[in-house]
Parts: sequence; C-alpha cells; structure tokens
Amino acid sequence: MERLADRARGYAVIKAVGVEPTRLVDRCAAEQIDFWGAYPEDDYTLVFRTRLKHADKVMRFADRCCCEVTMLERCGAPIEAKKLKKRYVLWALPLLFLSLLVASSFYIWKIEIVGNETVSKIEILNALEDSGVYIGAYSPNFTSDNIRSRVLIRVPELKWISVSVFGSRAYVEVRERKEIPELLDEDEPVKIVAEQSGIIEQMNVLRGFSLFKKGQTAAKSDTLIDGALPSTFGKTEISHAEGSVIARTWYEICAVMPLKYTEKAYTGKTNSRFALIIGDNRINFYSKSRICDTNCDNIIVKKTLGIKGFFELPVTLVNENSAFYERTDASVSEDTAKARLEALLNDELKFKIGENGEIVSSEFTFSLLDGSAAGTLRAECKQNIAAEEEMTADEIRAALPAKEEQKPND
Amino acid sequence: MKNAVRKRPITEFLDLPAELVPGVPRLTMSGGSEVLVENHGGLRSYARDLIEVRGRNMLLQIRGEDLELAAMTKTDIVIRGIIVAVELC
Repeated sequence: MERLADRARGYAVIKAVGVEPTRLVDRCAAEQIDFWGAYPEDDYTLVFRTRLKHADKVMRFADRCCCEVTMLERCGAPIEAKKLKKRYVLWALPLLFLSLLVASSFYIWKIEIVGNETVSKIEILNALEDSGVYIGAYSPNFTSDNIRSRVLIRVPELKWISVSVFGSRAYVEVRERKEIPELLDEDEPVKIVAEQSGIIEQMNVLRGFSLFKKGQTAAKSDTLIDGALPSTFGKTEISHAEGSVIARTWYEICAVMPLKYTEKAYTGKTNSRFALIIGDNRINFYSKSRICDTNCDNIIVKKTLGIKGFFELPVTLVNENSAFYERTDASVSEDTAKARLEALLNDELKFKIGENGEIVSSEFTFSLLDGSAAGTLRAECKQNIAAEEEMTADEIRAALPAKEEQKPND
Repeated sequence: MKNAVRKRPITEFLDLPAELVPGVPRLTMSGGSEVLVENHGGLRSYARDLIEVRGRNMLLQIRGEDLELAAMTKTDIVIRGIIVAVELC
C-alpha cells in the first residue's frame, strides 16, 4: 500500500530492463536518490518507484548502467494538481464560496432569544431592530451599551439584556423584572365565603369574625368569616378576613362519550413539495397552492443551511409533505370507554377539590345509553372551601351602624 | 572456491573487534524476516527467492521467499521477507 506521504509528494514508476538492472538501483543508492517498492519482474527486469524530481536523473543514469528505462507512470498530488491547473472554474468556485462564507459571517442571520417568560419574543425583536440588531445587520457595528440602553428603555419589563455574537448568530439573553409581590392590605374589606356546600370540620380564623362553627352546614356562597369585626369596646373594624375552612363536601359528576367515532386511515398516497426561503423571500418550486385537499395532513420540515450552533446561512429549504387519509368509522369497546370515563372524571374531581383536597370515598357507575357511554362519579371529599370575596358597600354600611347602635346599649 | 579459506583479519591477531576494520560488511538479522547489510558494495542480483549483495572480498547470498528490497542507501540495504539462509561466498 502506498504511503499517503508518497501520494502527496508524487512519484514515478520506473521499469529498468537490462543484463544487470540492479546496477541502476546501486547507482541510485550511491547518488542518494530515494527509491522504494522495488520488485523483480524477471531476471532482467526491475520495477521501482522514485520521487518525481529524481525521475529524470534516473533516466539519465540508465545508459551508463547499460539499462533500458521506461517510465510507466507518474502519479500523486502534484500530477493531479497539474491536470486541474487549467480548470479555472473549479478553483474559482471554492474560493468564491469561502469568501462568501467569510463575508457572511460578519452579518447576523439568526437571532436567538432566551430568558424571556412574560415578554414576547416579537416585542424584544422589535426593540432590538430599533437598536440595530436585526437579520442582515453588520455585527462589528454593534455596541453593547447602545443596544442595552435602547432595549431597556423600549421594554421596561426587562431588567438586563446581553447580546453575544457567535459567527452569524446573535445570542440574546434577557432577564425580566420580578414584580413586587402584592402586600396584603389588612384594612381592605374582604370576607371569606364558601365556594362549595359542605359540613364544616375545621375552622382556622386568622383575621375576621367567624360566623360558622364546626359541625354546621354551609351552603355555597355563605359568608364563613366576616370582614367586619365587632368590638365590645370600640367601633366595628373592617378588615381583610383570612382563614381556612375545611369541610366535607359531596360531588356528583357526570360525563357522556359516544361509542362510535370517525378516525383517520392513511391511504398511503403522499405528495412532496419543496420551497426555498432566502432571507424574507420565498421561492416555491410548485405551481399549486400550499394548502391541499381537506383530507390530508401537511407536515412541514424546514432545514436551515449552515453549521448547527455556529453558523447559519439565511437560506432555508422547506419540504412540505402531504399525507392523504380517509375518514373511517371506528368504535370504542365498553371496557375502554369505562376506563376512559373513570380517569376523566377522577381528573375532573381532583381539579375541583384542589391540590390540598382529599377524596374520602368515591363510587363510579357506568351505563350504556343510545350508543353512548355515560359515567357518574359520586365522591365525598375533604377540602378547603374558603374563598375570598370583596365586601359590598351595603354590607359595610350595614356592619358599621349596627355596631354604633350596639354601643349605647352596652 | 578461492574464498573458501578466507584470510583471517588482522584484528584477530591484535585481539581487537572485527568491525574496527574500515569497510568490512556487517550483517544484522532481526528474527527471520529482516536483514540489514551495512557497508555493502551494491546489489549483484535481485529475485524473489535470492538477493545477492556485494561486500568487500565476498558475496552475500540471501535466500528465502518473497524477498523484498525494503530500503537501500549508499551504505545500507534492508531486505525483508521469509529468510531461509544467508551464505557468504
């Protein structure tokens, strides 16, 4: 096997024919000419390889060594390069591509925004555009102070922003301002009402006047803890009622689902279309509209040219695949319907009683009715039924004079 | 067969190493697959089963199979292959 270095430097294959072809090899060794791969074809013929630059010298020695020399082959990188020397377009294209690649790396072709939760990307992109960061912008012109000050003024919800440029990709990292938590106004007229009917098991009143006791039944919307706090020594105080009310509640939730439905059955017929997006311009390689018949799923795959994570060109290849289907009738078995309904109703119940709620007991019943499955879940739960509600003006007015009238009686 | 009884080198009488004599061929065998001949006087013949190397006042015959001239310089020759015998003539 030829060594890679030999291929790179180039070599000539020489055939020496004579009475003593080894004399030529001796001469080469004496003249310090590299040769290798020598093998005897017969007693009078020797084939060997030497460097391209020594080939002519070896040919000249031939007469003195009484040999007839033939150059069988010249190969290697220099020979191949010589063949390609006059193919100017072949050399020009990579150079052109390389220069375009280098030039385009100075421009921004992709903006990546991370760290935003409430502020939309569009809003940040618009602010960045105003400060000079947009698709196609010349990145060496960016000044971080300028970008930061403009964007932060434009989007006050942002606390901090940094723009890092990696090749043609702008990596924008933002931090949003954290809203100051709302402080509880203790004088705000708020009462606690029951959001669900139930038998009260426990009342934890932190502030306000408790209107119910353990064991009593509270109907939905009943005031459990009043914001008006009567005092035997002074005026009635209006405060922000606080507390939790644990009560036993009962639920009955029903759900119905049809046993027959239609589903998609793919026919196997597919259709592919291609388009190219260069910058903001789209070139469609098809004549018809992108939207196909109603009975098909469109899957759009976009591939951006470039090296992922480092460099991206503003060229995107779009492949639109349409998979055609037919609607067929299908049915759900009774067991499947029962399991689905039960799971659905349990989820619904958990949502209703909240995270801290507890299911004490439950019963699920299932029935079939006119091609539909009906499920009913009856459950006894234990949950916090307290919900804050602002006191109305009438309630406040009613609470205050009542106290004032009580005062002289006391 | 005139070299059958070779002259004894003078270094033997002087109790000196034989390699001190300038131009004396030196043969180094590495296992049975490689022979290094130093201070050679050129190749006399080259075949797959026999390579003859000239030395000072002698001829080295290296016999074997698939013999190959791995490298050759003005003074050294490296021969590789399955070496069966090395004869001095």
